Amino acid sequence: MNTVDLTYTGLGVGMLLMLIPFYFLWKFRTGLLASALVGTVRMTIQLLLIGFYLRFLFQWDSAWVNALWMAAMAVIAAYTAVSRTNLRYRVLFLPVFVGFLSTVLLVSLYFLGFVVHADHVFAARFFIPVAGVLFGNMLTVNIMAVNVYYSDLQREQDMYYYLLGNGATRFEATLPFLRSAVVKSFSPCIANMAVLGIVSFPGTMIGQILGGSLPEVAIKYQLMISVITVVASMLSLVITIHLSARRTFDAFGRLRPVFRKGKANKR
Amino acid sequence: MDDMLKIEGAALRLGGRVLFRDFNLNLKSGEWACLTGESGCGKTSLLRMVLGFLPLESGRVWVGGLELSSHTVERIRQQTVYVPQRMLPMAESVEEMVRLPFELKANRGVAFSEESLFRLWELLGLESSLFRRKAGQLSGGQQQRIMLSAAALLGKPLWLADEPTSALDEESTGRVAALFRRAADGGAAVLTASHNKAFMAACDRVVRL
Repeated sequence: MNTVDLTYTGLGVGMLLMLIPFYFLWKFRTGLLASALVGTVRMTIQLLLIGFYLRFLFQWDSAWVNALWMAAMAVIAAYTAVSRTNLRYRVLFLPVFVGFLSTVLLVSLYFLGFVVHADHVFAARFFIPVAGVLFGNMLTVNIMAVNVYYSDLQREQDMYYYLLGNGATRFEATLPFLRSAVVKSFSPCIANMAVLGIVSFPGTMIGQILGGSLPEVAIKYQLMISVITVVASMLSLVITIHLSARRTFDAFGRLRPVFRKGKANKR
Repeated sequence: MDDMLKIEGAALRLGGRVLFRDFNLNLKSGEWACLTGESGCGKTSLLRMVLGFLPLESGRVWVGGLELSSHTVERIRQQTVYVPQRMLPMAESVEEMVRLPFELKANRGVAFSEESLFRLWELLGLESSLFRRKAGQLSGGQQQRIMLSAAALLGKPLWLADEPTSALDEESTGRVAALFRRAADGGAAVLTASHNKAFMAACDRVVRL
């Protein structure tokens, strides 16, 4: 099967559909019209630019350039994750960055090496899309989980200190908070997995089918993409929380200030 | 008898304000002392300081012969029972809430028994049917007594309780005081913070901050 390319005129016609949500955002006086317009323009420019850039990246196909690209993505993802939580950059940036970077390396190398059996795991056409999909999912889950974890810890410090005061180790005292963060951040992910292929057709699968792959091939890839995104989200979350503990608790287990000054937690 | 809790020349500063300085206290096993003083004088903070939740500005604290430091704080907390004044229990049910401290590694040697719990609840004026309720359905007073009963079952040598009767009526206050009396008579060192006169009347010693 061949890929059916989209013309730029076709893209323009497709973008016209955005007029429908724009109209209702304006009609319902949501105040979101300006942000939606800016968001759409940004998305279009960013995707066109990245498409242009990826083309060169694929042609170049250097493992070092790809690794550098991944490190840059990890910096941007970590910065975005921390900025959306109101947590202090100094405290959370490095743990989130290390959590993202190590997870993407570990999971994508496992997937490309042992599952796909790619000749070169750092080849741009394999490594970059897989890293991209992992970053996107880890970002969503991490923002939610880290925010819930630290907001709950700050708001319900009495519970944390109650457990410590009755003999808990720091890990044991933070466990109810970690549990709550994992439940809240992973529930949508697990619910989505349960209905995959019935009420929802995920992007990877649709993209592959539209791109000319056989449905069986697309489904196998989708299955693996679903698995590695869940694994990566969990791994990066555990690494982030573990590494951030050194900066967020002192030697006595006291919680240090984690939120930026003047910023109440968002929950 | 050796001091279970010893505080020597303690000073504590919170939010730039000195709460107290040169504070001394010796509390032996089997003794119940009650901290009192105006609101904001540092009663809660003093209890937290003993557990290492707030840093000492100066002075020293010993629990069971161990001097409080980052190296000993975990061992010290294994010897304590701590009941804060208010708490949002991160548990669905009362049963889960009560069992929580028993699941900690440090307390695994202590077997949880519903029978012992219900005996305590009878003393505290709580019905055993509460055990199957949702934690969110409890009143402040019920929650306070339930947390206290769970901590009491741990049977640790030092009890620290912050305003344990703040949400209780006169009758329940008497019942809670009887529980602390029983703990002290059983050999525990008990330090409570309160400004309830009826409650303070039941303790061995009142310490004004």
